[in-house]
This record gives sequence, structure tokens and C-alpha cells, in this order.
Amino acid sequence: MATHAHAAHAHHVSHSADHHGDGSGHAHHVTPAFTLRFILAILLMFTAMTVAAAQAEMFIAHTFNIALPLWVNVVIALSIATVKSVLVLLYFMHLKHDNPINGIIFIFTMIAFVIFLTFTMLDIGNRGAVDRVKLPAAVAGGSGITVYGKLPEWVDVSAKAARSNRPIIYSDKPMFVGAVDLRYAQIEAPIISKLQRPLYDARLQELLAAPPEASVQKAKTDGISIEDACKLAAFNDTLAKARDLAAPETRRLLAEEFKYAVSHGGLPHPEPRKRLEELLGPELFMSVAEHAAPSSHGGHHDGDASSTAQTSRAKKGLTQGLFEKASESSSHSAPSH
Amino acid sequence: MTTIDANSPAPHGHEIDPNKPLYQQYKHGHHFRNAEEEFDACKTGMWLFLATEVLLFAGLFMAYTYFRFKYPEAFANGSQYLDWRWGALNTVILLISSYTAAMAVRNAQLNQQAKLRLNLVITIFCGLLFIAIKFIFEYLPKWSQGKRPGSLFSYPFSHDAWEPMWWSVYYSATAIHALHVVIGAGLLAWCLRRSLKKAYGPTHYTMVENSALYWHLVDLIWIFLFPLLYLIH
Repeated sequence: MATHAHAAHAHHVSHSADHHGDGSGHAHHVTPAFTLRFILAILLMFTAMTVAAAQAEMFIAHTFNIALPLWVNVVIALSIATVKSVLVLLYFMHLKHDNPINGIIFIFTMIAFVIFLTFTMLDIGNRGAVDRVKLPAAVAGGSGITVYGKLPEWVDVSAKAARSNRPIIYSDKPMFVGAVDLRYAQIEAPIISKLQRPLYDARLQELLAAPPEASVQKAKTDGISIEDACKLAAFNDTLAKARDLAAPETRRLLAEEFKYAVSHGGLPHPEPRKRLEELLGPELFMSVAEHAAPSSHGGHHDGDASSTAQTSRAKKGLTQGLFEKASESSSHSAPSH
Repeated sequence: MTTIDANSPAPHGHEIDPNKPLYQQYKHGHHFRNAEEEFDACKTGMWLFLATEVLLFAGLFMAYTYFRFKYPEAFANGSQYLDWRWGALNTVILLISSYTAAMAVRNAQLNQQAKLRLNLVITIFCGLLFIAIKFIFEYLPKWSQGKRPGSLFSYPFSHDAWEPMWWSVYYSATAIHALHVVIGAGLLAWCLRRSLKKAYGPTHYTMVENSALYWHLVDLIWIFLFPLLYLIH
């Protein structure tokens, strides 16, 4: 240690410290002034280092267009901060020459913190994986992009959703209870997806041009808009059409659909699985299930932001009667565009 | 406060001798064997308190970890609005004040009364400077631009839907830290006031030691907050 260079000075200090006390115990350690100054210099140096490291990372990322992983920044910053805090603890806070009990108290506090951190990180880090198995679709508080309440108009979530291939879930629930209650929210998102959308859109245009009596009645009884009732009808018609046309092409489309849903954590849950089986019939369902390889197909969204938003807005009408739980336990609203 | 930093150093009706410095007249609590034992007990008590403080901030660091993990883009964007130079300046200020606090303890141990007062003054000044910079150059401009926590957020040019969450974490962490700076400066101001009467010296400096420990903890927390808040990208 550099204190050896100033051993004479340090000796002088501890010598003068020996004269204190009431004669009842050992003298407290007096940290030499040089040590304190030296530690301050190291701390300032490390502060400069941590800033320089952050600047260097930014420079590298921008100049060579390398996207550094998130942990690089965190690991460098936290390593330097840890070294700094150990120096503060040992020298400024005297733990080096102190009664060991004080250091032990601090170490146990740190252990408590690490337990706290580790288990929380295990939870957050694995949430997507759990969702994939257990949950039918995108879940508020889960691996989708969750929007709670009404967003300001300038916030463009749909672009982000298109970029990251994640569904958007709108939720009115307070954020921390959303995860369980809204498990069934937006179940239609994976089912009406890109492959059925042309069929769905065409049918919806037809229905909107001249809303059938049944839809007008449905809108009245369910207290939803006629538009939503038409969407619901279009949704049902689309699925019925797909089931009726058990042609090879439809089968292929449905296999795609199924793969899509699986890759979004959509179908392993018993409820939607039962629903799809009901829609397709057992035979077709099994053949579709054979084709569906869960991992081979990444998430697909049609990148069309407005249609994603529209699906979400249609959700209230669509979800009703499809899964009772959804309409019971959740209410949705979408930002008005 | 009665045992570690009594206003009246000679309890039980003893007169204060004006010719002797106060610290020499200090009598340890009757439930301790000697002043040494009292000092150790007070200090261990302080460390236990510091442990609870660390756990308080652990909750905030946990919130930070959770939300940064979940919304990395919002945190990267949010961090861009902070000027690292103010953060770095405040880091340097706190480090220097930590050094002067440690020096103040040393001065008390060595009965260097004038230096003790000077170091306490510098430390308190650094604390106030920290708060001033924080408020004048960081909180006020950001708050007035609408960069506010949670539902108060009204900044019209945000890039990410989760920026209000970033500001929530930023304001809670830094404001609770700033509150600690104020409390720490208050403790040191008390020490300064008492040191004018020569209350602290080689045989009795418990209050200086514990206040300095508190101050170092505040510094310690900032050592982590600075890179985590200012240096993300």
C-alpha cells in the first residue's frame, strides 16, 4: 500500500493518538491523513473512469455501428462503483480497523440485498418463458407491450409493436394486478392475424356497408356499437368460412395460423385449444397440430400499425362470448385515434 | 441523544468547569462499563441503522432494475435527458465532502479543534452545494418541461411510452437520496454547533463519528446512483 511511503507520518499519527482515552481500553485507530487523501484521489480517478467508459461505449456504438449488449454498460459501471464503495467502506468508514461486528452487519445486509435481487431477476427474466407455456395470448404485465390507461396522442406504440413483433395489450387495470386478471385479454389477436385478415376485412366491409338485422340487435342487447357488432359477426363469419372450406389451402392457412399462435404463446392453454378444436373439428385440428412446430416460426405481425390498433379496439366486441372470463374480468379501452 | 451527545456533559448535578473543554468533562452512561464500551455500542447501533438505510435504497435499486429490465428503451431515452456533467460534478462534490468528513473524525481524534470546525463547514457546504445543483440545474428545468414522474408527466416529445416510469424511478431515487443529504448535513451542523464549545475531542467524539458514517453512506448510495441514472445508453 502506498501508506508505507509515508510510514513515518503514519507512525507519528498513531503515536499521538495513543495519548487519548480514559485508560480503559485500546486506542482507536486514527486513519493517516495521507491514506484519506490517497483514497480520495483513487475515488476521483474511478469517477473519471466510469464516465470515460460510458463515453467510450457510446463512441464505439456510434462510430462502428455496433449495438453493444445492455449488460456491458451495466457491468462496467457497477464494477467500478463496487470498487469505489469498498474503498469508502474500508477507509472512510473505518471498517478496516473497526470492530468486526460492524463489517459483519454490513456484509449480511449485502447478502439480503443479493437474495432480493436474485429472486426478483429470476422472476422477471423468466416471465416470457412461463407465459409461453401457460398463457393463451399476450398478457398485460407479461411479454407483450402493455398500455395502461389512455396514452397521449404523440406516443406511438404501434410502431414499436411492429418493430419488436409483440402484441399490444390495452388495459385499464392498475398495472400490478393486470398480469393475472387479464390473461384472456385480446385472445382474438393471434387468431385473427395476418393470414385471415383479408377474409376478415372483406367481410367486415360488406357488413358495415349494410349492417344485418342480427348485428343491430346484438349491438342493442350487448350495449356495444354497431361497428363492434359487425366486427364480431365478421370474426365469426371468417372462422366459419375457414372451417367450411376444408380445402388444402385453408388447411395450410390454418396450420400457419396455429404455428403463429403457438409461437405467441397462444394455444397450449386448454381453453383456446378446446376452442380451436371445436372450430376446426377434431380431425382437422389434429392434422394442423401435427404441422405446428412451436419453435420454427417466430412471431409475425403484419407491421401495419393501424390494423394492430384496430384489432385492439375491436377487442371488446370480439372477445365477448368467445371467452366469458375475458369479458368478466377485464375491460379494455384503446386510445382514440 | 442523552448518552452520546448530551448537552449537559456533567449530569447528576456536577458543575461544568469552564476552564476545561467540554469533551474532557463528558461522563459516559452509567449502564456502560466505560466510555470505550459506550462508543462501540453507539457505533454498532449506527451500523445497524445504516443497514436499514441500505435496505431502503435496495428497494429503490430493485425498482430500477425491474423497470430498466422491462423497458430498456424508455430508460435509455430518459437517461439522455440527464446531463452527465451535473451528475459527475455532484459525484466529485460528494466524494470531497466524504473526505472532509473522514478528516473531521480524524481531527476530533487528534484534538485539532480548528481543523475539525473547518472540515465540518466544508462538508456541510458541499452538501448544500449538492442540493443546490440538484434543484437549480436538474429538478427545476426538468419539472418545468413536463419531465415528471408517472401521471404528472406531460413532456410532449417523448420517444417511448414508458418514459413516465423512468422519471418516477429517477425522482424517487434522487429525491430520497437528496433528503438523506439534507439530514446528513443537519447532523453535521449539529456537530459543528457543539464543536464550537469543544464538545468533541480524543476521549469523546461519538457524534462526529456516527454523523460521518451517515454521510459516507449517502456518498456510497450516490456512487451507485450516478452511473445507473446518468450513464445509460
